Amino acid sequence: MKVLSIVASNTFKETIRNKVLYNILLVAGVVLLLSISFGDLSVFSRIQVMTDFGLATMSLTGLLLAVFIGVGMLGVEISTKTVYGVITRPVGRASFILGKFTGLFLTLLLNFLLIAAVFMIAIQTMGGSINAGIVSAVFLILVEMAVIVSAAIFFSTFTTPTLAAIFTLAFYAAGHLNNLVSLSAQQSMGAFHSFVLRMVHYILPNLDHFNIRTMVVYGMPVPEGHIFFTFLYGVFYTALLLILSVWLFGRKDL
Amino acid sequence: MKKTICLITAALIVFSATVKTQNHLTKINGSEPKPESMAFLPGSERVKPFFLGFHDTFAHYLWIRTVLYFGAQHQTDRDYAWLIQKLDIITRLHPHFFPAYEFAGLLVPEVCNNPDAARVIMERGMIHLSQERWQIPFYLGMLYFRYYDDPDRAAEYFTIATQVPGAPSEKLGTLAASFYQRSGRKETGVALLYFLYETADSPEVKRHIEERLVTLLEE
Repeated sequence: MKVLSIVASNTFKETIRNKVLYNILLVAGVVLLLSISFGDLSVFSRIQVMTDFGLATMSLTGLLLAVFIGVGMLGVEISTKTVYGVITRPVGRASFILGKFTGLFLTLLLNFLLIAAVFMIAIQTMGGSINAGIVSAVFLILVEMAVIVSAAIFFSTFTTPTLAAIFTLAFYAAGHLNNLVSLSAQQSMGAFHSFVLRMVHYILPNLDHFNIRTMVVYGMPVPEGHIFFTFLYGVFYTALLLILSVWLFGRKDL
Repeated sequence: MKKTICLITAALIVFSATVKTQNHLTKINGSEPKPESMAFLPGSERVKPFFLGFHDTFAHYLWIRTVLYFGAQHQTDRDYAWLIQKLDIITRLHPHFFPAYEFAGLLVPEVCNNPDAARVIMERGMIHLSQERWQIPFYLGMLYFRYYDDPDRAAEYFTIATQVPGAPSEKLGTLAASFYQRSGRKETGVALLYFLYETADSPEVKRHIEERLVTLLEE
């Protein structure tokens, strides 16, 4: 546990110094402020459009942070061999992976809170109000990002940083299109084809569960238990990817 | 070895937990009406640049979502509130996407009870596809006839449809002629049939037009 926290705090310090982080944050800030003017493009009220674009910006920013920092941290350490300096000490590979994840997630959390604060201030300034729905939406985006960070770490354990970034982005896209896979499985004529599609549906994450933006924007009730079970789903999926990462990294011939 | 077995076992346990949770989420979400996630897209050409050149791709994705939406609504409350907006956005982002116009021409007036919206979308189709798809002016003609009680405009659109390559010109022409007759423009209908007669190659088609011409002149 002590080793894990040392690795996590070092990762946190390292990522906080990363220039990419500030560039992404700057872009997020600009887009969030631009979203104020998006209200003029729609027939709907400015606050609703701002909320929609704001949450979408947070989601995409979280993805970029998770990909560039997640992949960069572990991938670059492996490819530049700086990882040797750590694992030659009494640091277990599992602790190393979990520490990396914790450190990255803490960085992401800190940045995310910053973006969320800007977003909420913008909403308040424009005369909107921060309700439980918006907070829940932000929370679920954060849980989704935990899944993405763990995916970035997972891909980094067995491939190059560039490929890991591409895989993570593809993973995100596939996760949001998972409902279509499920639908294809239901409509498939062949039993084998349907079985394969169903397996794909369960193996890939269903990231659409984390997206309650539209319900929040419309002020529609979120189904009872949705937030809790989605959080649980995110925790399970993150755990699954971290277990696989630990297993792969443990077998890696460094 | 022992460690590997432990990790694989843990992975399997966690994976089955994700499957269980996912199934539960699907169940609780399935019972709730879901709003349409594309509803807030601005219905304006100004939205195009935001897609960074991927507007066609997005239009195709939105088309899939529209078909799924239509199917879902058809099986439930048959409230197609977002259908027009979706088709409008698709045809703005991808003005040459014929299936969306077909959907708009055939279904929107009926299921949304909104011929005006269908007309606006179809007239966009006239700008972009009227030289390639005879169905666009044909559907528009039908729209004018059925919902606006305007056989004259309907006949004009059918006439445009006859001139599109690959169109069943003789059938559309006879249809247009009869509509011209209804609107009191019998001579226009006769002229159109003469033109079709002159340009037709097939003897069967010529005979069919001739019969229609005789009937029209006798009435």
